[in-house]
Amino acid sequence: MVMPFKPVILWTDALIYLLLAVSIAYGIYAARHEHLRAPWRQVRRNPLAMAALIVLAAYILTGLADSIHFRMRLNGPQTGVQGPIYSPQVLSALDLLCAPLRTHVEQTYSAPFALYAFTPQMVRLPDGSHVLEYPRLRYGGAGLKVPGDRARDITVRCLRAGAESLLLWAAIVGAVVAWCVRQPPESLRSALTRLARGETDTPWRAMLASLGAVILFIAAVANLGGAYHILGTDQVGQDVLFEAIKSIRTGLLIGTLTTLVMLPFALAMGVMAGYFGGWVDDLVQYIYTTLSSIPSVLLIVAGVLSLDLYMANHAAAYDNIAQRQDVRLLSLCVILGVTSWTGLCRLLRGETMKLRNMDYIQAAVALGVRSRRIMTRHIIPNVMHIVLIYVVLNFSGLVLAEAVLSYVGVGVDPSMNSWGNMINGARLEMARDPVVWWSLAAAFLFMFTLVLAANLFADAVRDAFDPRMRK
Amino acid sequence: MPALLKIDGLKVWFDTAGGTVRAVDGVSLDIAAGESMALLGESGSGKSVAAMALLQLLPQPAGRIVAGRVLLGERDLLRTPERDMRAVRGRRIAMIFQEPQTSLNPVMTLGDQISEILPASWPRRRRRERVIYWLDAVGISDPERRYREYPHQLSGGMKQRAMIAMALAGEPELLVADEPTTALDVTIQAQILDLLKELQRRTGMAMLFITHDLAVASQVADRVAVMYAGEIVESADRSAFFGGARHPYTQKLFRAVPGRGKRGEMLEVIPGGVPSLMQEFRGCRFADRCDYVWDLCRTTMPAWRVDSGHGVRCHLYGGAAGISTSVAAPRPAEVPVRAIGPSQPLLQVRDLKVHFPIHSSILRRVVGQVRAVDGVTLSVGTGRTLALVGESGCGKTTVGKAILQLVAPTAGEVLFEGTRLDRMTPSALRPLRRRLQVVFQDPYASLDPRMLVSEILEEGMHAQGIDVAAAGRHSRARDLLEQVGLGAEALNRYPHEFSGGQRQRFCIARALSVEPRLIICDEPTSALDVSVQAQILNLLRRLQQELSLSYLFITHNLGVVEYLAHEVAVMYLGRLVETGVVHEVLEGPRHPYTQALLAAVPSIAGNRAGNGPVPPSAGLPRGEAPSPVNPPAGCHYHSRCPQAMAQCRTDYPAPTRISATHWVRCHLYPADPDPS
Repeated sequence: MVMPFKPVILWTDALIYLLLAVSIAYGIYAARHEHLRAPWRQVRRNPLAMAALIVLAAYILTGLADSIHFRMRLNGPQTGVQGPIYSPQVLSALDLLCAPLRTHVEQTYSAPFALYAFTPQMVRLPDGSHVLEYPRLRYGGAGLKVPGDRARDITVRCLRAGAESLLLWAAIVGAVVAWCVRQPPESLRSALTRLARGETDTPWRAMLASLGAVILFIAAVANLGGAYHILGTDQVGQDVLFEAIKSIRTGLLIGTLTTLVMLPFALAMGVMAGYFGGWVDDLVQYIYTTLSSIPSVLLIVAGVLSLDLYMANHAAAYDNIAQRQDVRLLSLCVILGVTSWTGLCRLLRGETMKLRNMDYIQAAVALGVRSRRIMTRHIIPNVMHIVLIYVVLNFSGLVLAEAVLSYVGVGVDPSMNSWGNMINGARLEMARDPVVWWSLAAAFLFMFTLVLAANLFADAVRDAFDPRMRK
Repeated sequence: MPALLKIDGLKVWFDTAGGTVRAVDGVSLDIAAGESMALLGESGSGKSVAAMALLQLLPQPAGRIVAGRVLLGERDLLRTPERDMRAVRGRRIAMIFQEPQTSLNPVMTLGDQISEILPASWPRRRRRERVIYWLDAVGISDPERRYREYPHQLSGGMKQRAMIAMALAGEPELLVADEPTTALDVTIQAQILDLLKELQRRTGMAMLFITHDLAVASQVADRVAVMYAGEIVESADRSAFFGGARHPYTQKLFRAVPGRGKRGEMLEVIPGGVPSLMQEFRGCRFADRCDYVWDLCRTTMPAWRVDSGHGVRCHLYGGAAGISTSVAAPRPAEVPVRAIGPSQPLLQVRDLKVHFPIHSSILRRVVGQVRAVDGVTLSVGTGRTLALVGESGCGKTTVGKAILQLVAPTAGEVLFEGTRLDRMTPSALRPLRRRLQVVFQDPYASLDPRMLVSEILEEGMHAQGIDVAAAGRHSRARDLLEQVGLGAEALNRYPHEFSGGQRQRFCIARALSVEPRLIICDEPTSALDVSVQAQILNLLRRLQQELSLSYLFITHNLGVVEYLAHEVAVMYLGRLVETGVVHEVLEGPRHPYTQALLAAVPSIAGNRAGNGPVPPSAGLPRGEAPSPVNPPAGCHYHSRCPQAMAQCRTDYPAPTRISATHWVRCHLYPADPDPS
């Protein structure tokens, strides 16, 4: 039995799995500790935050699906090679799910829902003469017999998407209502009224509304995406919607892995500087004042350029395009992490200095508890709320930073799908006449939704965890 | 006399996530013009909320006034729109708060802040003159200079004086004072109380004085009203109230106050705590904690009964029993103070000095020293209690921390069971730490909020290697809780679920977990209510007798000293001025500072004849303690001492021996020829 594919674990994939495991472990830990459960319960009661969480979850699931990588087995004739042969192209689960989007590649630009190319081409007629015309797209609206049917076809597909999503949504609503009725037992009518009025403890109404929007979007893509280019195509004929969806993983990675890279530094250095004071404090302060005095863009440019040089000199080690993109992405995370840990470190140092003089720390010292244990048992649990707040607030900043850096040209690999690269490409497209606006619009739409949801959620987390915000 | 302010059936409720808290639940009160009324109650009784409601200063939108009227003259303040309230606040009713540090705007000069109260139409010059007049009236010296100064340039007592000046500048008819002396030292408290009484006499304003302290109430009030769980349970004239309190709650409060008269007996404690205010009460609110409770108390709310001006809300005074029947209290159990003679010193401190360097801001050069502790010599015997007494900032807490080696001493010796602690490395010190423990002042800050009670109790055992097996530690933790009077069900809960008194018991249990010989108690009861304070003091005393523990008891409360201590050391600006056995020092104080401290303690003068407030206390020290950065030359106390002589300004006095155990450092007493 030969597997039809061979799994590939990229570096960033491994780190994402690690992050996932850490998050799940934190979830279990938080559920068992009342001081962590209470603020999360407050987050759970916030309708806006929970609606944002649904959107975030959709992004995260997409990113995770895009982090399961493998190489397909080739079914061609095997000439003198032992064992199966696998394609050199690394695919992800998301690629398979969106196969029509990925494979429907046109010649070049086409507008959203277009049937004809955006730019005229010289076409050779059967009689041998040449004429400049807008050729019919290979995939966009290919199923139509008459171009005039387009409006009707789109309407039919939209209605079908609506019906499908309504069906699925109704099933989920039914499940939620059944759960509400059961626990604690109440009549169906009162459960429904409470749900409709938004009076339930968990804001089901807001969550179901935002879930409905997400389902509708997915159903629309599923119904329309195969037949049309919903957001048009780019210069090389790639579906823009597909590019924007593939960019989700890049954005999420930059936002989370950077934090993962910097967190151990910031936590260890900040807590040690604050707790020990003296020369340890001087050293840590010296390091972070020096680092934060260097313009971070300069540091990032230097890092990325030297990495480029290194990869050019060792081209053999990075034969695979996916691997090259991956190393580049990871190193960008590391460089961003190195330049951005100082802020958190400074916050933690200050908080630790405050905690060090608290009576319960003094009592622990008087009991003869060792410094390492005081730091891990007393100080770190009491500064974790700062870490959490900083991480969620920082996330959206990092997603935006990626876009800016890629635009400047020192971001992720130019061949990698990312919102920054899309915006970078749009620089020239905006100068055309008529304007090619859809790449920029797609990148903007996806990034805006993610950052808005992340910010709304982060605000709720901060309100719940920051003791100064509590009433 | 017609009432100036008439509160009628005031109800203030707070909507919280957990439910509705009925903080004030039907309070009625009259205050006549020129009268001073003390509103007495423990924390959480609703006394401050009631005062805030008068001025419509409740936190919005959580607090709402559900019912009632507050009549100031003819006008109902609760139905006065915000625009008109501005004319009432400050002009007709002024308020001073507990915390002078946060009540003044730090970026405005004193003059500007007080001027804001005066009519804006006045010319600048006139306002300035008026402000200086009031600054002078509240006893701030050099008011011309203070006018231009910022709040941080003033000491705590000065700030409270400035707050009073600000309140009085509007020439109000009623002054609401919300615990105005609670944050202040006892000598400053006496000054402020004197000042308030004097100003009241001069201006003829009425005063609503909110306090938790029976003694303070007896000093300032013409009439007293006691609040419990949102309602007034007793109200009477000062003399009637302190002559014979009627409500069981009030009677218990009186018996819970520590003092020397109660030295031989356990203090009266009020079991349990204030009931949750989220419920609708059907019976008497005090029923669960009352010794005289009977069926009626649990089913029917007691009515308000007034007899010759003395009102009380209790079933004991209703119906056939007759209102004049005074209820005889059961005597608390007698616990003899074990007569322990002078014993082997467990802890000896010789000439301890702790100086904190002051660094200049840029180059970190040392520009001066805070002489927090400047030569302290004391010793604590086995099974005995030494009380270290002094005002805030005198360095008494630093002495405790230096003994525990939580701050490094600059000079001197700390000997514990004959071992020098101050020369040891941290790792060598670690095993010794179990002999020497500490209980801090603030029970809310001294327990890690992220740890379970069991984890807190087991931490010390783990660190000291006591009962290495987890099961053994668990059972010890249970025993410890029992020892401090709490149940084992507390083990798997977090500290925030408990009240201040219960938390302080956890702190004591944590200290006991490593079987110490000496516990340094740093004001362990000053953050607690009187009835809870009594519980903790009783507990400490019982533990001392059971385990023959020694205490170094750091406090500013002389009542506690009288109740608990064997020996007393009085500290002023980093140095001891007088030490001795408790009866020697408290009954025959020699040093003028000790005398002043004792004079400043407000006492419950109940059986005194007449109805007027107690006259201003005499012999109070002038001003406030100088900074320990730059202590006065000679005797540190000479700048405030009424008996200062020329010699006091130049020489620091040598110790004078009064008796075998009683020493004093003062030039009034001829120095020992041979101070060995």
